[in-house]
Amino acid sequence: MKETKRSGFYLEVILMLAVSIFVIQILSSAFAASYRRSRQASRLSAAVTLAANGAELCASAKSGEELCRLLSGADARLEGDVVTAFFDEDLNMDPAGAMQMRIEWKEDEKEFADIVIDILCNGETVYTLDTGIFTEGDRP
Amino acid sequence: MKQSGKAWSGLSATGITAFFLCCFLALVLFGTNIYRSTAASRQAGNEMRASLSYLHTVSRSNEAGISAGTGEYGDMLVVADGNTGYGNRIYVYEGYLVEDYSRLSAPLLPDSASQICENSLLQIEAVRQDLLKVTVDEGTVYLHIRGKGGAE
Repeated sequence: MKETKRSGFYLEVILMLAVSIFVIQILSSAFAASYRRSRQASRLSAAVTLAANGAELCASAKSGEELCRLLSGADARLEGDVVTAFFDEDLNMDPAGAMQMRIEWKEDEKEFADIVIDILCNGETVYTLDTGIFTEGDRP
Repeated sequence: MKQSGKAWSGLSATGITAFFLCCFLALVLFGTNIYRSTAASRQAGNEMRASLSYLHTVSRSNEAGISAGTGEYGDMLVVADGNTGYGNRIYVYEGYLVEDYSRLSAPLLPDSASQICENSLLQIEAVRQDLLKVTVDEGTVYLHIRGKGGAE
């Protein structure tokens, strides 16, 4: 009789553990996915704003060299047609920042430059903005 | 002997219930923490869009008439409405970024201004004649002034 009660108790414990582990596993993955998505969304918001900042800086700079000077606080480097600069998560220029802005500057026509701004976070492209500026004056 | 068996049975039931409750509580705490951080992250994203994207949008839709100014409540962004003499003045008042549409030569009327979002800081710095660096709580935006506005 005593043995039956004990084995019943252990069976209940094992069953409950199995159910708990199953529920915890499902909920953990749901919560973790939700957290990951939320982090991605806030990173995307920051990247969109950073790319818009990059476009405004390009419009003011008019050339890759000038852009480099404007982004000097962000450890900006000009290599060929590409300017790279670094920012922190508050969008401030920071040479050690996790967010990288990569601006490809191509002067297709005499007074127009095609600009592609990539925002990377930990080496992964988060957002790309394809835009252009008039390099001679603001309007043709 | 019979009583000892009953006690054991009661204890085991209590033990299982307590264990189940502990697991349930741990799960609720875990879920609450994740939900809190998710909500905080979403809130930060919303606030960023409300303030920084708003400033970019204002800049793009009013290219010619934007300038930096200083008023009774600190730095402000002045957005002229064509040549009417009226315009929006954007500044911080009582913890909010507000948009005050009135005659630009008139005193500010913060009580009748529209609240944009919660914000305690508005710092405007002219990087060059045609480029303003605007810092708010959520970060920094650069505004290229395409017309006659810019730094005063």
